[in-house]
Amino acid sequence: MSAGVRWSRRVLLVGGAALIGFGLWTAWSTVPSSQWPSALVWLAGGVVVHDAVLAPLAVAVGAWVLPRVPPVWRGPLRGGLLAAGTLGVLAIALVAGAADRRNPSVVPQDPLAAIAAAAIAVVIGAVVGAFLAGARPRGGDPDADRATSVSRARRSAGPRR
Amino acid sequence: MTAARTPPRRLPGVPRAEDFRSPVHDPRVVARVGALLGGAIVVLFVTGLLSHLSQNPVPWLPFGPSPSWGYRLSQGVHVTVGFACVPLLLAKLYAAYPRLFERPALRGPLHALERGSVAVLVAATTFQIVTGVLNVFQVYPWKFSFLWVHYAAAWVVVGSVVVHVGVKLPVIVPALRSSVAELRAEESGGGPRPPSVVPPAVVPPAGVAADQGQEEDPAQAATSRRGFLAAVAVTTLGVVALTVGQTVRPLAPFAVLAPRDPRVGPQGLPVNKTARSAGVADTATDPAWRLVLTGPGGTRELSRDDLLAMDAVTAVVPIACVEGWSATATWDGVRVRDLVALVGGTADDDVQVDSLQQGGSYASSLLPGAYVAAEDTLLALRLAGEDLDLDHGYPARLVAPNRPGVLQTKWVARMTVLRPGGAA
Repeated sequence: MSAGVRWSRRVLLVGGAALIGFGLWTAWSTVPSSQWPSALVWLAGGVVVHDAVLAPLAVAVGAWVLPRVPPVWRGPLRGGLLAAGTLGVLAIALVAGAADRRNPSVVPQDPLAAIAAAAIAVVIGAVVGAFLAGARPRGGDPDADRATSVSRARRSAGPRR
Repeated sequence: MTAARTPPRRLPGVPRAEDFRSPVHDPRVVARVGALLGGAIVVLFVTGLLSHLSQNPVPWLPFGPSPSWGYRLSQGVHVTVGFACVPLLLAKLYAAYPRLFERPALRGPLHALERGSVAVLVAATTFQIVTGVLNVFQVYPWKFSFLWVHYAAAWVVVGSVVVHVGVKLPVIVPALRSSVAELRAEESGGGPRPPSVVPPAVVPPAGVAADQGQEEDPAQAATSRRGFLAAVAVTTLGVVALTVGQTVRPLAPFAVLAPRDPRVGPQGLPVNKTARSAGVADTATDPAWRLVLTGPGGTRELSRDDLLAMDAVTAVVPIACVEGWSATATWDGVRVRDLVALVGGTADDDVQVDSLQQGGSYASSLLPGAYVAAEDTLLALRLAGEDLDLDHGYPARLVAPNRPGVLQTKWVARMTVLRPGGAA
């Protein structure tokens, strides 16, 4: 590790710890203690939901689906899953916001139509991604099951280094 | 590469870091997604701080009425980037997920501290993004004050990002310097590893077991890394495209995932707090309503007709909400500085503006002298050529450029000229 990196690390660690300390002090001095349990539940809840539910689900779906599809579809499907996860988070907020509108200008759209439109955009994105992946130059390698057109082109051109 | 030919073994319960073999978990991918997310968090922190300081002013950073679009821009960016952080955070957590399972779980006090800092980082960032998104949709399924918790958590998030960058710097620097298209040593056939590639400790070995067992072809791995980064970019831009219309009016038809449409609401303008929810539906429509003006020259009471008979001014001023939506509107009313002059005040004086609303965080606001002096700072009586809608603050509301929407006090009952020392 160079001296520059070593010193940068020290500055970042001390500076970051100071920022965290200021945040904790602000929380301590401005947030009533009666609100702490709820805030802590939400702090821990996000980690638990991600680490124990969402991430294992994503890994499992990837492990089960991706080997069963042609290579050109793997990237677009992985991207589609990311987009679907994002849409899922926003869809929950959209549906909850529409269910308990404080006035008609909050979430004025039909949430289900909005989610359907966004889902169509995700599907179109994945299809376009697969088309672009498939449109790349193809080599002559017959090993269609394991390699993308790109890897075939590269292999036919020889080692990269 | 013999390991790559070994059939994936069954995982006995909890996996190990090296079980995750997808090239998406490569440090070069993690570092790039992290750089995007870290940059976004810095933008969120700065724009959030701007909003905090314009609502809780400090002497060393006075805000003024210029530029009129300043608050609109900063909060539009804040909420749009906040939405963009949803895919960035999901992608970052997914890419770095195998590190959760590193063994041994704790190698000593310093390692425990490092892992603790990651736990704080993940918890605070996830909390901030999730509660922030729910907040702009006005969904509050918790029992804490969003405002102060969001503010305090922002410091913890940015601090833990800085700590994380410090901890990971020896990994980040080489990871960002090497191309994602380069093949890892084992991918390129076991030859000597190029010096620019990240150290072995942070590179998951290829071909042990699989979370996505398809990635055995080396060039396919490079394609996967690039493809994942492209997907992150496209998804992030997609989220922006489907939400930013709540503040960029020409894109409003595409804003299907935004909580607001800048064209929808009474008189074509969204509303945050209605007269009914503020408890002013009766007092605001009472013909006996009078604006009470107090200043060094005494007190005057003006009816709405008195105000309409004064020099009317038209101003085009955006209403910009801390929740990210904004819309330009045309207001007719009386300049605040003209009202202040009626009771012996000057354009340099601060003015306290009180609403008919009883209680609540925004029942009154302080209008600093810099805003009082501005031509476009009005006590607005009409919107878009019509009398103000009750939900937009009838009989009169404050409108000033470059000011948080929550401080554009509605249903104004009293304006008090403040002189240094706080006395009227």
